[in-house]
Amino acid sequence: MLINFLIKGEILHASFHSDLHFETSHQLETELTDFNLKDHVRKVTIDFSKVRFVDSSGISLLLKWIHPMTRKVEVELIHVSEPVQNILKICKLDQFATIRP
Amino acid sequence: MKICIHELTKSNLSVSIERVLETIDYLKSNLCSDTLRFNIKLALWEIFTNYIVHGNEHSCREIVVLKLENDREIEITIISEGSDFDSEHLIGDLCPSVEQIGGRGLYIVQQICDMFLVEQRGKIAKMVFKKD
Repeated sequence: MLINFLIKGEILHASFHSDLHFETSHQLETELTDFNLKDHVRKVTIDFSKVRFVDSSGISLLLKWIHPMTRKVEVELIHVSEPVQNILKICKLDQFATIRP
Repeated sequence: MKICIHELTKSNLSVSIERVLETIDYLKSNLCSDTLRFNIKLALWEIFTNYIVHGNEHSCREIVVLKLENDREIEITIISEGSDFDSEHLIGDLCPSVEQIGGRGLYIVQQICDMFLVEQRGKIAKMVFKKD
């Protein structure tokens, strides 16, 4: 699995276990297809501590997953490295999700 | 410095990019920021994946990478002997909308390079990065 989920109360914790790019995005997309946001969840945190590299395929995947989710819940990306933050901001992901180092 | 990559495919993409990065002296220096290292890798990655995605049978016959480095900047020129891509259609000044599925690769490269030029339907890509 390249992504893990853990629900604690009203918070869903997701964490990536690989970089997000051309070589991993297909498997990640398959894993995210099965993802179903429970009604009682109010916030989603996504841990990027194991993500060292993201390319445009990874960004597309993130946007496709996170953007619709932000209509229902608050989304926070945590432990995001400075270079990855820079790319996420270039692609305007910071306009609908909080990005933290 | 000239680096030749024969038969670029999805399976040797990472290794091919590492081969180019190893030739850039400044990346080994303590003065080089993580962001510059990341950006150079990402720019190469996006151009190379375009050749693979748009190439025949998802590969590119041969790529030549020319690297020039001086006190102030790193200049990388990529010449494809095989694949090309519709650079005019893929490059835009505006950030693609969040709903758009693809088409962000070259936009990102434009944003992270200090100079980015594509010629001959992507067969030649030139990028310049200023040192930190």
